[in-house]
Amino acid sequence: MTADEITSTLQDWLTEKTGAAIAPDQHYAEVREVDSFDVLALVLFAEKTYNVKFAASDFEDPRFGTIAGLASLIHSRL
Amino acid sequence: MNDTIAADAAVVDYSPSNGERIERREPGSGRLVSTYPSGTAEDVNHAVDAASSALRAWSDLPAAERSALLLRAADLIAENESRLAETLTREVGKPIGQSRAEVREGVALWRYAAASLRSLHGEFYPALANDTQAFTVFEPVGVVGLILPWNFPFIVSAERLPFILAAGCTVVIKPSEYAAGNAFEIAEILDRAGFPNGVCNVVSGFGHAAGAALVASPRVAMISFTGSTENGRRVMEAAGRTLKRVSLELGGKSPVVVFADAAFDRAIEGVISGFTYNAGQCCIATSRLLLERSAADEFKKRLITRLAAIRGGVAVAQMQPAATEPQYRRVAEFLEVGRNEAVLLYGGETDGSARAMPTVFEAVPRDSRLTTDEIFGPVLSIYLFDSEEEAIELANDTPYGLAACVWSGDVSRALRVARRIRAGRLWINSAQENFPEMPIGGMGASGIGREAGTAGIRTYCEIKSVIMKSL
Repeated sequence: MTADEITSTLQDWLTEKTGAAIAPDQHYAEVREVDSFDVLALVLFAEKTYNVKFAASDFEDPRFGTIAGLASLIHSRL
Repeated sequence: MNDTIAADAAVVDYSPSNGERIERREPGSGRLVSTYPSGTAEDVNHAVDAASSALRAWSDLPAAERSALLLRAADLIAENESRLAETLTREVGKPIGQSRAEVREGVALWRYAAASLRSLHGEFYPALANDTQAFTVFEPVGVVGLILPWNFPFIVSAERLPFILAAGCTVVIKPSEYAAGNAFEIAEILDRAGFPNGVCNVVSGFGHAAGAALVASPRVAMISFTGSTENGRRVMEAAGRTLKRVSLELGGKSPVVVFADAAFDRAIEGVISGFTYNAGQCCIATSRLLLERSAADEFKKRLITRLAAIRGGVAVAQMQPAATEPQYRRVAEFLEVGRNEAVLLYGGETDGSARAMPTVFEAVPRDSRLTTDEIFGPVLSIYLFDSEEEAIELANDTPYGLAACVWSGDVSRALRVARRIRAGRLWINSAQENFPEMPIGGMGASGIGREAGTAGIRTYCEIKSVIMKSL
């Protein structure tokens, strides 16, 4: 599985949930339709889908603020 | 906009008798949203005149016709979802997705009230004596004063207004001075739906002027108030002078009880939404987390990880702001109380002007204001218990009784605990979910009366007994 494939899956999921067209490199906070509960739900979806676990310290990583960044973090752990 | 006073028709605006207007600016950005009339006692009297004049014809309208109007209003509210949500987001600072969801929930409430109206009926006693039969009928209580809060101006209105109208009452709405937009928009929608003039009136303004005049008016039969316990007491005292009925949904300091056998992932999501939804500005916020000691360390660790996930995606500058500046100051003050009296487990940061990150304190003394006072911000306090009895004792250690959550894999135990917690709304293995069928309201210092659900229309009715003898 490539990072692009993960990006695409996460992007589709978030768009389906929020109705927002969000670009892979766009910070969640720039998208009006995405709020912190959506971010939390996205993390839970990613953990379940890719069988990865994030620790509190992981979220300090600035990559975490975008779909592409989150996908690359997940990909590095597969 | 026009210069017609709201009382003459369900219109979008009016000129207050004092000529003054209230500016509403967006929380956080400070951008101007709109200005609203600063209503006076004279304006309230004018509105009550209109509501009183419209009462007879409205209450005499057949239930099917009133129901059809409510359904038409629901359709128009649904059609105007974007506009209503935009106003809500701009005035209160909510995320737009949350505002849209609230409007959709509101539509469901309007439709439920319309349906309930068709089946409202009394009781019939065919043989109280050989020649006597009797029945009860529900009659509208009269003109209702509906005083709305700033935190959920749309949904609180939807939990009450359609039921008031379904009961055959007419209404004067006094929205919060911080969030009046939706009330005017709904009045305009009712006008377009074909509601007769004077059935629904809006007088915006401050509580000490417009609100006080509404509560004092001898021609207003009932006040429905949603707000703080302190202001609820004032409303009830003032209403008592004219023996008004009151329905009060007030403050809370609600517990969420988590047993060691709970499904942690779901419980953690419930705990987080319970204290952070609407930036914690939620009367049913579950701001006291009662944790079974044997599982506390693991639960806290996972809770913090989830909160950090929010932090990773959204920095403090992007969090939902407090809806008002005084509210931000209150939250900041409580963060200071927590730092002085408890142990900061997570968060504690603010942007210094409007926003606070979700914050968790532990080792909080039972007599700390953090434990006893409603904060109305994203602040959670943790307490530990060793037994079911202790959990119940902690949960009930408050004058409030608005809401509670219980998380446990043992449903029998969850039910046992739920039955003993004093709260008007209680969730088991769930959090903050609402359905139009379920009545809402509080016990103790959290209020009097029930709104919506099966209680919704009856709250705004008198029961008349008719006893009839054969000739």
